[in-house]
Amino acid sequence: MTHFSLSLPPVYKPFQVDLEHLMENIKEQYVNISIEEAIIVENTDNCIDEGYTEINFDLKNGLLQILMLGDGMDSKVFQETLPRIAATTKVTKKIRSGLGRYGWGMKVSMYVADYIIIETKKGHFHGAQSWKLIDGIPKYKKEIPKKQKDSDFTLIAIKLKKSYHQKISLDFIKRTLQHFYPTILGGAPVRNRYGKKRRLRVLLKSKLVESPPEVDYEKKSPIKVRAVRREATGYVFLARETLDEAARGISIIVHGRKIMKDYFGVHGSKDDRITGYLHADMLIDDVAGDKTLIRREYRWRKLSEGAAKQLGDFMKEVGAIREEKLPKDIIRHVHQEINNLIRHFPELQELARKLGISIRREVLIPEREGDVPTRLEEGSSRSRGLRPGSEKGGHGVPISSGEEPAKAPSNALGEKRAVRRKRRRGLQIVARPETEKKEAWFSPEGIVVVNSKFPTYDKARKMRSLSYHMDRCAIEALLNYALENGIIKEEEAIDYRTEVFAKWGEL
Amino acid sequence: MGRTLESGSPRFIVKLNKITYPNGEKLTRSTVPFNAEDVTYFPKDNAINEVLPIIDESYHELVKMLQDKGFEALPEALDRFFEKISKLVILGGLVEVLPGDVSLDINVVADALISSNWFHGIVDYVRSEFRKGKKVDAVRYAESVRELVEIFGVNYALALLWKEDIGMKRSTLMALCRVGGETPKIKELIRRGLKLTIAFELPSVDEEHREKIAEELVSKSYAEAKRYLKRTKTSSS
Repeated sequence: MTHFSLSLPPVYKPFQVDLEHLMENIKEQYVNISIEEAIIVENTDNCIDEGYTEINFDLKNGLLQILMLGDGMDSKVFQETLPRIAATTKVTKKIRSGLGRYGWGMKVSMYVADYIIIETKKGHFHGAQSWKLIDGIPKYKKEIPKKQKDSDFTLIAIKLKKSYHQKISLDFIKRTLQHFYPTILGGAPVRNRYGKKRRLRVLLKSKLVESPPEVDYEKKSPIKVRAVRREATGYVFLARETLDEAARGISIIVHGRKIMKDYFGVHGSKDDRITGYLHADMLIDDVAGDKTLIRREYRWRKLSEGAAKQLGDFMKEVGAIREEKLPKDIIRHVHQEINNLIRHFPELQELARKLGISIRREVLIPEREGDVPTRLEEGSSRSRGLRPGSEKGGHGVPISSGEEPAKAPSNALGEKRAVRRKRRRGLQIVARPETEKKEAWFSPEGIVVVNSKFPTYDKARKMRSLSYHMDRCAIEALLNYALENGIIKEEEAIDYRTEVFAKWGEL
Repeated sequence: MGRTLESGSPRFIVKLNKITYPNGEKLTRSTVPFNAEDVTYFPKDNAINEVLPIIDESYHELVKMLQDKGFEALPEALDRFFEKISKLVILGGLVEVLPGDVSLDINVVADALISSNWFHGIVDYVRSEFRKGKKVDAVRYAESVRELVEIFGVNYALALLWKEDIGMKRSTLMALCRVGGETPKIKELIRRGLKLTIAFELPSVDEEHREKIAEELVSKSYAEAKRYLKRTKTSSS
């Protein structure tokens, strides 16, 4: 008998999922919020994303019931998407605009539950199913719907494990809701994943959950930031007293859910009293991780930029940060001062001309596209006044001897081109130690030498007025030089000096 | 106590100048340029009085060696000179004064500088750090560029770097020059984590304010630091 072995061409097969391990991984995602909090917020987030208008939490004998009114799941979602892990209706290739996105938010509830029953009604569809974690593996089965209600709803009944009876209390649910949804509880409208805004009633044992107590503030100011064509609004407060660490900073609220706190890089001396919130729905696609993080991408940067400015202004207003006004007068160009001074004194103008200092002169710089036709002739300087070529190697600027020496525009009519530029030979002020007992002098090379060993120099240094000292020395040195060279007459010297210094003081 | 060559104190910019003294004597002397507009560090301690005599003496030795041994000794003499002074200062003005003091053509001096160990050491270091995301020593990198510029001038230094296959942009060179001449405190902050690109953008205000701003920036992220700088500049305008 002949044996045939049939070999089929290999085909790609989907990976198998280790459900137990996957569920563990899902639980691990919750880093900044506890698993108990996750039960409350994941269900509330789902409620926000859809068209529900009311959510009611009830807790009795270890049974946590979350009843959401105003919407429900259709048969396809309920029967196909819901009992699948990491499956969601909220993410398409083009849009992700809901708080839910991973398709595992509700599933994590199984960790705290003996079982969960989910019942929904939408239009004519009415269905129920139960979930249970058996040996670490999530399992579900169909149930008979029991709740009689005319309008659409979804009811999630979580039978808590005994170990969670203490942890998940009515007070815990209230605090969690107040922490994560402070403005929804205050009546602020919230956007669902279709972009529609509505007020969501949040109840605990059929009573509206109070919004968290407003901070006792000294000052309150609105924040309004326009970024990526949308508006983020909120308030910043300066509390009267130091706040608990958890209350400090500006809460970034996206679709009603508080994601994180931030100061937008603005810090001051009263950070422990600064609090507030900013509704920033434009960041919905940037919410990451366990929804306590926002990716620092373009939208965040734009928002943060605008918010930082407003928070900065507020902080300045309340004296939390000092106005960083830079002293405008501190940087005064010494040449400019000397030039201004010289302009008022014809004798000094004469001196400046003679020495060639602080006088603008015109120079030609070779430039291929220049408007001045010129000849290039042997230049006095190889580098100054020349521009390096645009190509690698710096064509036009000789590097080693033996290469063609650099040439400069001569202004004689030629085929080369150049541009005119204004240059000024500046007056240099330098410090150096001299043993001679002279405070400063003017060297005709255009340098004022200030003696750093002269006692006034040290005095000025200690009094932190070196700039004044150097400027004054420069003027004194110029005046002395003008006097020594007969530019100023000796008999007029005292008055002249007084006039020059008076003018300098006015500049 | 005076400084020693090994002291490792902060370097500052020194320029060799020809100065005519009141008695008519014309000498080459080291000076520290003062310009209130410039953001180059001007030492406020006794450094000028301690360091400049050492520079003058080293320059005197350089000139004497060249006068005694002739221009063949130029590369060796230059290396010896820079070895003594470059731990203390970043020197400029050498190409302008040395040819006159030793009766040599400026091209000969420039060529000797380019062939010196000092020059190659600087260029090698700049090359090793150029376009490296995380600089081994950003301050040394900036100071090296400033050294080249002080000696050769901006255009020539740029051309030299290009010739050495270091295609640095003019704007980068200028920014590095600025950092190379920053105050010791700001240089220390750069070593402690202030980003070089942030240091490039410090506003041109007096040293005290600049240092204060730099201190604020050192603990901030790049984006935060940029925002802070923008706000600081806006509020002062």
